[in-house]
Amino acid sequence: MHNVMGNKKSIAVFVLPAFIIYAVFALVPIAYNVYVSFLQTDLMSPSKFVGFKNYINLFRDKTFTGALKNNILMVIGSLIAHLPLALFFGNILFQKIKGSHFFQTVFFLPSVICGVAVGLTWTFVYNSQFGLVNKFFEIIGMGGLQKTWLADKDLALFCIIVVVMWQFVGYHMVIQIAAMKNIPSSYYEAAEIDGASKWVQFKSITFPLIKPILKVDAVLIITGSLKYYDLVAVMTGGGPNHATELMSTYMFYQGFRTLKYGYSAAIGVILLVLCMCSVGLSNLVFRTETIEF
Amino acid sequence: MKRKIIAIMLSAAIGLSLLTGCGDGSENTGADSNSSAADSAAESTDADKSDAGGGEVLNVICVGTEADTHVAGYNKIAENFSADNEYGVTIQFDFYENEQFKTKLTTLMASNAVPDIFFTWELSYLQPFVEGGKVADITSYLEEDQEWKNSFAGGTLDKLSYDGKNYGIPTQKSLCVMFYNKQIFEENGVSVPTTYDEFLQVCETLKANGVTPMAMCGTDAWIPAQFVQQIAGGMAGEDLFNAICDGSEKWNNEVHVKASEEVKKMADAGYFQDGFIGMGPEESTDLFAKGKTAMYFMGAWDSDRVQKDEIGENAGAFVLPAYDSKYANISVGSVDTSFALAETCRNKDAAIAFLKYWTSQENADMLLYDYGRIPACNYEVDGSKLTPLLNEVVKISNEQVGLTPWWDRQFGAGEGVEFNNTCVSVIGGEDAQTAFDALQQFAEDNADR
Repeated sequence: MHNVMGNKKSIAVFVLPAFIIYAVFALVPIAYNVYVSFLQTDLMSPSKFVGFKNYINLFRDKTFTGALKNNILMVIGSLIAHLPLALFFGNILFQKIKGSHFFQTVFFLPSVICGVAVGLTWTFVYNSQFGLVNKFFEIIGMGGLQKTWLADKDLALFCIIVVVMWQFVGYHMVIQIAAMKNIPSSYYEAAEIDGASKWVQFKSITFPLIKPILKVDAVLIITGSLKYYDLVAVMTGGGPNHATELMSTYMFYQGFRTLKYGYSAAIGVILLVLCMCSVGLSNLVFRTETIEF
Repeated sequence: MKRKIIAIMLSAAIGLSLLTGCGDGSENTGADSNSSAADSAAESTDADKSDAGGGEVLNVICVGTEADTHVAGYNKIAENFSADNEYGVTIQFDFYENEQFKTKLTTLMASNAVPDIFFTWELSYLQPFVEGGKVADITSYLEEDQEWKNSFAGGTLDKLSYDGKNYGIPTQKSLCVMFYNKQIFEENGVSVPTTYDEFLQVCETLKANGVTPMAMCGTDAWIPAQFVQQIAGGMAGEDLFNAICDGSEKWNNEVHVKASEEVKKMADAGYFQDGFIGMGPEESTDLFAKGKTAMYFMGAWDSDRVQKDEIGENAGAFVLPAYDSKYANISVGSVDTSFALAETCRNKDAAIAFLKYWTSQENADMLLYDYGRIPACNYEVDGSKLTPLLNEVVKISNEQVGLTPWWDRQFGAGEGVEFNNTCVSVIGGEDAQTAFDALQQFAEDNADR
């Protein structure tokens, strides 16, 4: 066995099938996309090479900068909900309380529902005529707070962020609980004997030991919210007047609606660069040494 | 062991996120191209089979949903043609919802897998596909059959001509009308307005009597935008439209600003139903069709859908009176439901024969009298066969001195769609001048993308 694995050629044979699939479906399209982003093209008529013009235009495009801002808000919202909040819930459920398994399932459920279904359901919740939110305000006698949630350009994005928070909090919580379960219970027993409070236990044992997992989790959260698409497409389609446009929905709009594929590809490249930067950044922030238990 | 579990969980998580990534894509492109691949695979096997039997299948894609009553009419035409034609071809219709259709067609165009015959909008919607060489030039077919060519009302074919060549056949004529509920008008003692001020007065009276004057939808931006365009047409006539088209007038001209402010005023005065800004087209159409609002501004294509609903015989239609009476009878309207042939069409002669059959007297009759679709060809209408609503619509259609196509058809998804968005954002509270300045800026920037 060691002989086989020691031989670079045989490693290559095993890796090749996966690498070919990865190359065909990821690397080649990415490279092609970068190439298209330097063109002015509708992919039908002859295309024109325009250098960096698409990128320059993008940063003068108010809709794009708006979408970029929305994406950043989305990242911030998701980070708040999926790191501190998920850690909070996770830590509670980790404390062997009654029914913690049941609650883990309950929290996790929304993330297995398909995004389109979640979007449609929440569109009903936010509906200005018969939606739950407005009905709730009516019942508690605060009818003045009723809004046309998803049609209000100042509110729509936050309505969507709330849904994203709700949908994925359980998912990240479960990842974090799994990491917590990995910590030997003897640490906590020792801490308890020394009289450490639950908070100190969390601060000094749990958190440092699950940091590597949090790093991966943060990468998942940031890249996930940068390339977010489905909820926005279903709930508002980027409207009203591009107020909830994200980079991915704007990319779709520029490509498939206005046929400016070069411009749209440039948005894709920026998205790629941002995702790569965010990975680098979270590596930097969560720099840790490997831990052996 | 535990570390292994974590490793598995995390890799599952990353795998899952990759999968959702694919999911996103497949919604727009993957599924389309997959299904089209499947379609074309199915087609080719169909074609192979039918070749042996002496027939072949022509695929048609079209906009339509279950809720559209006319889809049955279109299917009937396809069935009748398939049952008996000299080419022995079978027409296979596929209907898609509006937004889905746009995605589907652009994807098929870019991947060279366009069905033989496809639904299209006129003007700038078809233009990029024509320029990309994806659409068949049908000029010669029209030249060969002068009778067919002349059957189309003056100018209708021009909307689908580029560089003097014809690329599409319109099957319907359409324009915006104000539908109204005769019963509600009677109960509130108001009559069809003849001036713009009278129209506002009617709204005011209805509102004071506790009736919602108009049904409006805010989520689909083109619906309030066509209302703004209609009012702008009544303020400055066709000249404004033509001036914007040839670039001598800017998008942020005072007429657009004023027209959008008019609609904003109506919204503030409560002339539209509560929460209209967050309502979809289905809901707002229903409000009118179920007799809950007095008026509803929409394309005449909704006539059939409306009159087959609860409101029935009580539905009527009038032209929104012009703001400035010297520009009366200028409406938003154009040709509609046009069809074009793909350059890759497998049997162009048969496809043309199908379109000829579609636009024949027999089918124009059927579509008009049974489904309320006003034909694009010159046509003697037998008023006695029409419902009262359609009689009024046809009369309005004949009275119009000018039709300005919807901006999003004239300018396509760039300036046209942004015009729609701008109108919604003004109605939603943004300052009209600022909003239209931004539109003008967009138009200037967009030329260079």
